[in-house]
Amino acid sequence: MSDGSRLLDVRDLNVWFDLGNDRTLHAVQNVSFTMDAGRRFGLVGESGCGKTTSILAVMGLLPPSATVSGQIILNGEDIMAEGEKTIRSHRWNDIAMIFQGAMNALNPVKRVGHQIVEPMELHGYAEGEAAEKRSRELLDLVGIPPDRADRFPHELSGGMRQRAAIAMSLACEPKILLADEPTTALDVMVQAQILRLLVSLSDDLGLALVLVTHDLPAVSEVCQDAAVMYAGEIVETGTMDELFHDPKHPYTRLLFAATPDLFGDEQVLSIAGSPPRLDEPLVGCPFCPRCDSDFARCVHERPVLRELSFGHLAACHLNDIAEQT
Amino acid sequence: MTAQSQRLLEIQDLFVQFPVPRGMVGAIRKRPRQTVKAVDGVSLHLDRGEMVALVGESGCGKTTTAHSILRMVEPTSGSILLDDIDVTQYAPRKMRPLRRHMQMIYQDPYESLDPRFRVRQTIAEPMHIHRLPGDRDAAVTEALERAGLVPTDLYSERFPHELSGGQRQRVAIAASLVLNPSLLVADEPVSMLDVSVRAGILSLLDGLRKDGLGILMITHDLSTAAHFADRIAVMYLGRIVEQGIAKEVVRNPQHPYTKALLSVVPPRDPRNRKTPQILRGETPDAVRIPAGCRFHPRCPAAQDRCKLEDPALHRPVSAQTSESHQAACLLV
Repeated sequence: MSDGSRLLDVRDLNVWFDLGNDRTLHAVQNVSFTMDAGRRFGLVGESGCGKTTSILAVMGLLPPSATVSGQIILNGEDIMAEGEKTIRSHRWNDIAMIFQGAMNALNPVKRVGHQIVEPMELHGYAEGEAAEKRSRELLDLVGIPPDRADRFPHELSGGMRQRAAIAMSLACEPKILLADEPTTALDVMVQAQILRLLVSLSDDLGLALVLVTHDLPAVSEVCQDAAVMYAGEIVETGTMDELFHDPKHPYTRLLFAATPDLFGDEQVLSIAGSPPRLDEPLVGCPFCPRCDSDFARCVHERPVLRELSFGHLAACHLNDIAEQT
Repeated sequence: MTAQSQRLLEIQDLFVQFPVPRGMVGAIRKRPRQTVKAVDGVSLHLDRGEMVALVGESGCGKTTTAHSILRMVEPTSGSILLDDIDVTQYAPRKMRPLRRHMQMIYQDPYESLDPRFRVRQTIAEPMHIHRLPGDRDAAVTEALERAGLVPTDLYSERFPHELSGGQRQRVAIAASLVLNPSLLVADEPVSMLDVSVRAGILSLLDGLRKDGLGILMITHDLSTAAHFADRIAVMYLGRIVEQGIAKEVVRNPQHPYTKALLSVVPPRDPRNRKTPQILRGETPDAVRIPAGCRFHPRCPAAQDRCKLEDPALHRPVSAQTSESHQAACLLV
């Protein structure tokens, strides 16, 4: 695993939010993951687990109240090292993002085509005629007839607006695309269309895709591997097949069990309780109060993320027992 | 199955149309008046103790159908019988006592609760509105218990912001249960909630159904419908195109639209990936409903006669389906 070949290497990312009165909230805790060209990676978990905060940190878009530590190595260069100055030159040019609810965030008084041209001009990628031409090509690429470039957002359907938001993210030919809940609030059929579009974009353009969602079946459909986040940290990461068929963290198993399957007959079970508060120091395993297989050690000792087989990591004490016996 | 139970709700030939404003210029030029045919001939029934899922894409008329049961929109024609009383014939003022028996819960528990009301007040309010006699505190406690918010004194004095999404939705359910309704309309009750708590809310609804409540659930999540509903009705462009026992509709779909909808639901198991049959475009405009079969422009199996004949719901001729399974397709 040499550094040079990696497109993106996020190491020990930590994010704290200042809540005032000397209180801090530890939103992201030691998150590490790597991305290669054409790879599709899912980041899944409940709301508030830190998945969106993690990718906003990679984009350098967190508010001033946030403190970020760790390394974000893009093509061998640590873009965090010099703060905003270095991140800015890579933002949208190398790493782009589809924001949550992006389809509703388009500027209502500007034509769709113009909104795709804007980032190109802003980031010095292209100007004038050339930018216009590229915006039409991009619309075509995401499945919008190029003559719709002159339309206003309200003239397009939800699915079309989401496609336009995707076209906008691709404006400056990024190598990495971070997609935050790109299909929530969309219809089943449109959802399937958008997921298929993301897959074909990553296949055809060699885009590395990070899919942030709480929709496990969507991740199963799109990604080769995924990380499950809980209370700000990654608790398990591996291929989708490993996560579903051989989960090494009870949370992963319970999360799948809480998701109804179209043809499955087994009972769908909710996970009792709610995630811990992150503005207080955590003692023991953060999932322990909701876990169905916790034992004495879980109460006071926090498990660390450990590699169990190649590429399959989990943070659970049960794996130690399994190995000893 | 609860086949023996009484009929609670019977919708017959429901039409709901909204006029499209044509503007002053349009009026002067005498442009033809247009209408959005939101619900275009829906017949549906629901028994006591039964959960029926109404599924379909946005704009297919499922929410309008539900709203017309509670007379939140005015039906253009058709009848809606709740316990043999036709609600469409009631004057708006007389609807209030009737609404006690039919309650609705909404998609977003972050929006549907008053942030300044304590849980107790939220749940007691319907009783004030309906001027119900009796011990209201006891009724609130009972509703909290039925909604699974126990111990009740832990929740009754809280404000919505002190509750999680799942707990808020339980409060919304408790506020509808306090009136002892016989029909509950649930509009996407779990789509805003975290995966980990969805099953809890759905099992709660399932329990209420077993206690005799009739539940009409509006959803676009077919997996949820397959797991929790007794029957599924699939709507497309204002009309039910297929209905039947939930498991049967999912395992043996007859209408090409149902087949397409089912094919795009991603399976949980990555080993079961299949090729989705993705329909082009989105639900067409309910102003200009295609002639013939309304689904034919998007249908992968359409034939020439589909452009001419408008199919009615019928029992598929060839398929091995049970009596109650119906589809509106010329080819089955």
